[in-house]
Amino acid sequence: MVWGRGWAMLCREHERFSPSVAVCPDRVVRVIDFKNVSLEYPVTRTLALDDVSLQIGKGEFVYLVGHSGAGKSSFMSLILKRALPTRGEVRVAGEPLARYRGRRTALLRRRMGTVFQDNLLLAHLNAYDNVAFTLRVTGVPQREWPQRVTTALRTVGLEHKKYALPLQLSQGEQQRVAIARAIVGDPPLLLADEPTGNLDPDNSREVLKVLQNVNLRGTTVVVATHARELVETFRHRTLTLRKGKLVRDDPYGGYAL
Amino acid sequence: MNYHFREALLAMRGNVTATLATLMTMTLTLLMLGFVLLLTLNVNRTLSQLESQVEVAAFLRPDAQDEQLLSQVQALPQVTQATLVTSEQVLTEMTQDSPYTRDAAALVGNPFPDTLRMRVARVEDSRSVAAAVSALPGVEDVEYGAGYVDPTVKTLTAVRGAGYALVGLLLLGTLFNILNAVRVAMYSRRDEITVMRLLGATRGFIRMPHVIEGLLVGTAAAALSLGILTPAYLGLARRVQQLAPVFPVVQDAGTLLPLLGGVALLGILIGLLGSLFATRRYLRELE
Repeated sequence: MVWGRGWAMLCREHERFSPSVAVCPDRVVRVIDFKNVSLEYPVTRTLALDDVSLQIGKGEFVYLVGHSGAGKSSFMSLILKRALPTRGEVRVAGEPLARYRGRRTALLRRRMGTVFQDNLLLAHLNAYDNVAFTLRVTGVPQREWPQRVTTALRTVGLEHKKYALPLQLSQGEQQRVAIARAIVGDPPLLLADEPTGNLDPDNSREVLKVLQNVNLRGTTVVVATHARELVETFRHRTLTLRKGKLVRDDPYGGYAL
Repeated sequence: MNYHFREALLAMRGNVTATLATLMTMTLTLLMLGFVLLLTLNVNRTLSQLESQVEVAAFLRPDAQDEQLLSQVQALPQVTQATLVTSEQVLTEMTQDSPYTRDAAALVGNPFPDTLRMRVARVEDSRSVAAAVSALPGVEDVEYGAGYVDPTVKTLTAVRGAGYALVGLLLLGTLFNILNAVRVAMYSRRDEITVMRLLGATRGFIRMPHVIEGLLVGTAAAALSLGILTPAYLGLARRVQQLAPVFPVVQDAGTLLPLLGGVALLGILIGLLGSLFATRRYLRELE
């Protein structure tokens, strides 16, 4: 289902806009591909990423760890096309990021779920409406909303709180609603930037379990985090960044800065 | 569309002051514009009536070669019509207006000279025709109606120009008000806009509520200004007609409706274009 609704759709978009670039679903193995990528912020002249090369494959669960300022958020910003690399090339779903322009940037983002430390829930909308907001924004017919929103809320274990406003939910519950909002569009890629940053250990574990469940459905998940205990407990491939450089790529996981 | 419409109404309710300021300025601008256009319409009609009545009269000396002068003035390109009126005909005309004129003429003789009466194509030509005719031999004096038309035209043109300048300034003020209102609305929605961008909303989707907001304010201002301007103008026109029937005040629907419709359309367009421009600009700022 993820495949059908996700990369296949993105690939169709690719083929429509760039017929010369063949990116068929069965060929998309590298979901994210960084080739000698550097990112320097022009105003502060800060080198956020320095010659980073890596690939993340379809269906992987990957941690991105590092101290504050190591370049984790910059890495996420590049994938979301909130920034463009100063040097090197970033490919998402086989397509160079620079080729996503205008409406295609929006289409690219529709195929990625995003979860942030500040959950960015809209305070005036209840859990159901916050999750349905994704469907509204992406133009999904309204008749499909109830089933898809309910499924997403069930996945994060909050079906019974669908009418609660964000302020009536705990931090952990709010973050789970944010995850539901990120996965309701059935994206093939989920990016989570410090999703447990504001949570206590119990809630952090709950959130991680939810992200793992999402991954088990076939979604590629990238989690940027500081949480050593989680990385050690739920072992997955771990990329370590230090001062913008990729210093470690451990396929078996483990937190070592 | 319901969502965008609801969001537009919420944005307007959330920024009542900015919305009202925009609405008031825009209404005032459209009122001024409507007023200036109606004034122009009436001035143009009055001027064309005046122009059709403007006549150049050349008073001839007793020894003048009347027929030869008549042919000379008829040859002038600006002159559309020229007639020779003898002193006797003038006396007859004057006697019709003032019956005692003939008695006076019986005592002191006919005081009126033979006269050449000329009509010109445009009122501006009357000055040059008067100058040309007065230089002809046998012409004693020349009079033309432009003596009173000229200052009238100048005054009305100045009033019209000042009106347009004021409307221009008000339009600029309206535009700034719209920009400000949209900016405030977009900044108050910036969290929502950030979420929308991340979820993959297109620019059009994000801009739509604010564009609708501009359209609604423009439409409301157009309706308000027409609601005030139309009855006020018709009332004034009736009054002027009663007090000074000589003025050809425009009251026919065939002329007024396109003008008022144009003013309303302009209001709606300003609202729409202003908000389109503002959303484009401020969305970039928020990114």
